[in-house]
Amino acid sequence: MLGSLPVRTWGALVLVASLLPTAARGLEQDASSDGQRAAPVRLPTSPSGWLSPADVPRIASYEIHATLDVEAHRVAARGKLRFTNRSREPVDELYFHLYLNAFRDDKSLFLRSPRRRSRMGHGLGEPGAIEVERLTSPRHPGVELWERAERHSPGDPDDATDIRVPLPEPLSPGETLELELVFTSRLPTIVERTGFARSFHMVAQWFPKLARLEEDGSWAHFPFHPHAEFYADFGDYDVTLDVPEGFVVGATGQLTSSRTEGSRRVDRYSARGVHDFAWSAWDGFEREERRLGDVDVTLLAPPGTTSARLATWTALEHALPFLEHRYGPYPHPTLTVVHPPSFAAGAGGMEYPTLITTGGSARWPQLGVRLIEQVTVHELAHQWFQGLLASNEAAFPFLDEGLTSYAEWQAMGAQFGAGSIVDSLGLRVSLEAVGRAAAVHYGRLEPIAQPASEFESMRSLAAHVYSGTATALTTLARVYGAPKMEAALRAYARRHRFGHPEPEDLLRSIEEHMGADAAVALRTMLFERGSINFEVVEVTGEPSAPNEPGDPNFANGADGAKPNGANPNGANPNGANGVRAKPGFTNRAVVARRGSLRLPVTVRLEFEGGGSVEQRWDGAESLLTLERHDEKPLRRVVVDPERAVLWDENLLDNAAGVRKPSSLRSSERVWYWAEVLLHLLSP
Amino acid sequence: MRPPRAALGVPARVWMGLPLRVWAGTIAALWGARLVVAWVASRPVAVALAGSHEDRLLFEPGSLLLIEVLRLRADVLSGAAATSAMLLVGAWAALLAVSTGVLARLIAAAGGAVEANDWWRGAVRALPRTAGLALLLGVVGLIALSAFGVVAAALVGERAFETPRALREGLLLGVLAVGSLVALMTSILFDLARAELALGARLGDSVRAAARGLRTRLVALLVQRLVLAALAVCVLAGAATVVSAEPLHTEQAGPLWTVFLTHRGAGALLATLHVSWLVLVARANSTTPR
Repeated sequence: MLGSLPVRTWGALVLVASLLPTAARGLEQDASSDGQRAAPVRLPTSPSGWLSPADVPRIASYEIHATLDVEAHRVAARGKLRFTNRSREPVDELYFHLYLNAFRDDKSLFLRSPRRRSRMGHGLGEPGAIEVERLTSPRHPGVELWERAERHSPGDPDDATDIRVPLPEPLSPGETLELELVFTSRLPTIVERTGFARSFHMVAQWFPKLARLEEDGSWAHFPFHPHAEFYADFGDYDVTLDVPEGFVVGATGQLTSSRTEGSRRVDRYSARGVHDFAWSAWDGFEREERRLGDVDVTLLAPPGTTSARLATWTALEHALPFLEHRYGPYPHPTLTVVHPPSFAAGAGGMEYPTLITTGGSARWPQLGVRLIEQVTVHELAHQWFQGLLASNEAAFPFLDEGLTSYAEWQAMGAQFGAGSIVDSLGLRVSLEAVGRAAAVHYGRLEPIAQPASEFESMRSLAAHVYSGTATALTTLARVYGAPKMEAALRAYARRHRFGHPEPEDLLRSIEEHMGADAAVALRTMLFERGSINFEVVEVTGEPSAPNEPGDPNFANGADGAKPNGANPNGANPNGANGVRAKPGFTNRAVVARRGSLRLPVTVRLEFEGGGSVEQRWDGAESLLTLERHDEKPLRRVVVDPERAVLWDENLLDNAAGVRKPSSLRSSERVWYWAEVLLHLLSP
Repeated sequence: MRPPRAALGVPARVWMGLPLRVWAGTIAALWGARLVVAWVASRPVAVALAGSHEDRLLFEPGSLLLIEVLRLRADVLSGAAATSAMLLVGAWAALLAVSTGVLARLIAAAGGAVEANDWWRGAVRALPRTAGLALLLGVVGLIALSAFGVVAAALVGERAFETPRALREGLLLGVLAVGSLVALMTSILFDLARAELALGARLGDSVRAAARGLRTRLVALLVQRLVLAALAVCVLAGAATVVSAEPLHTEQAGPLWTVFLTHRGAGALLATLHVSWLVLVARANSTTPR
């Protein structure tokens, strides 16, 4: 006995006490089963079983009043930031992203990088910057926190996009710090999807944004690199926008009030459970509104863009329910779509929580080119992977852009079929075909899963991160089964909703739903520059040697191959005297697999006069040799006839035959085009 | 064997003032020549597209293999395209000779100054001067095309974004319209001039006569040319509509035959339209004041 209580009772009390911290954490529990980091599993309170914004712990919430000066292209703002330390460690410093300082002068990290390294296609016009005038806290009266801030990004005296602010005293886990800030944002000429052009304003990355505080107490801070995007904590945003009357505004969140004060209009927006706030204001917007499911969608577009708007709505009407079915409910009541005018095209093609920017000429839909639909669906898909999962876009760009691209291919393919990017005059081109070509054309120059800043160029990043990831996922879906991939990504999206996942979280979900081999293959493709190339090396069909009665050692098409259509060996291979006669031809096929990646694949053998058999190959070895005796000679061998392995570096060597196949179709087509050209040009 | 209509005193069937046999002969000559030279010029590209893959897969919806061929064979294809382009230049020259002969035949049949049985001598004599005129107008045309290209590029270039879209597109259409009109009038002038050359005129005289003819019948000739061009567009669009619906990616032979016949039919119609234009030129030549 210990004290006055029996040992059994002490034991029970110890057991209960050990469970108390788990219970006290309330909604969170660590689901790790193997000691590795796993995202905390939050229990949803919504009936659907998916987490909603109401379930999300608020970490960085903003209340801002901003006034737009459309002549000077400045935003004067004041407000509050409410920050709660939800990490396990006390913090004695804050880090702020001041993204607009990247455009302050040409010495910033962003602008001193070679031009080819960014999404920008042209040089900077008017510069931009964020000037923080005051940062104080009631917790630290009389202390001007911004005066204590570092003047530049750590280790880079020429860059001021990543600013450290030391705190007078640490903030313990669970404690909340209220901050008051006053700042002015000078918008640059449109660059990197933010800025102004004439009276059009795209106000993004415009406020001092607190960096994300990881659960271990470390700050995920980084300067603004031309390749990298964004990463922040969830919170609520209450933003009041003061603009000239006559300017139409589109913003993150829901409009909660609007009033006119003289020549100005004051709109108030509220967004719950988001990690960013962006807005646009222009006196040339035309507004269209529709309700799609439970979402109020607003489209802001320039005049004279009817076909572009129609294409946008068509894409949204299909993609929104499609993506919800795949990756969970869209949890916000509103979605704003901004189609910038052509002179502000640089603001297009970007995603913010509940607000996306699209763009593209209104002529594209008329020509059968689906660029407008593509950008709309892509940016909408970001609402899940960037908006809800919110992975670190700087450290793991593929987790957002790559999965978003895959979702875009799926949604566009479901809506438009094989012509998901071009459907014109009988020519149908799919996003998979174009994306795959971009992915394999760069070979395996760089690991897909590396940080954004380490890619050699923006073009390389696009080919690897966007197209490469989507091609890898499409390959696995086709090889191991599309329903399994859907289940894996759905589980990933559900488990890590509002959870800032990392690459291992994705791989774990792939392994759980598609098997260990699929997870190994994905790891090889994403991290190890894995490659694969199937090639048909040899195809022969020779007349067999004369019959040898009783010879038990010949294969009669019985090597595990599955007949497909007419079996070339007929219904009864046995002779009338009961002796198995050797079929007429000895056929041999050799297929090679090159590269570090191993994927199972189908090999189809086609025979003269029709008929074929298929065999499944696990791809473990580098060579597959098939020798068989058949009634008919081999005509052709095709590896991966379904073209499942898009990762294959060369699709043209996946087939070979005894004779060169006909090229009548392509020859005739080229002949006709030459004839038409001569008609147009000849006298 | 049936005796010819003329021997029976039966007038020959005519259309636009020309016997149908003349129509048939000239259309067959022009179309046949085009088929042959087009086939020759297209061979390099056709060979570059072929490979160990089945070419029906190039027509598969989605274009996966088509893009793969374009990606992996870009160098080979660009070389083949350059070779085909050079062959097209030769084809163009060959067709110049054929169409010059066709024009001379039509002038003779229309009662022009070329002897009905001697039209081919006139065509042969006119060929060198016709080629010279074509070269001269070609150089002038290239210069004009480059100038228009510079203007068009400026309209769609970087700073174009500062111009309202409607104005920019209107200006571009205007440039294209003016350029097309200039090209059209140049080609009409050329055709009228080579009709004169077929009659034995000198180069300068033929151009002057052609200019006179153009001035006196400018509107009529332009309208006729534009109508024939519009009909050609309809033929091409119709053929494209039929062909685009055919599942060429399948192994069936039916779609291939449909496409083959549609394309050949379109080619024959285009040749007919071209001969129709040459008939109009021949008739204009026969009534040109001298």
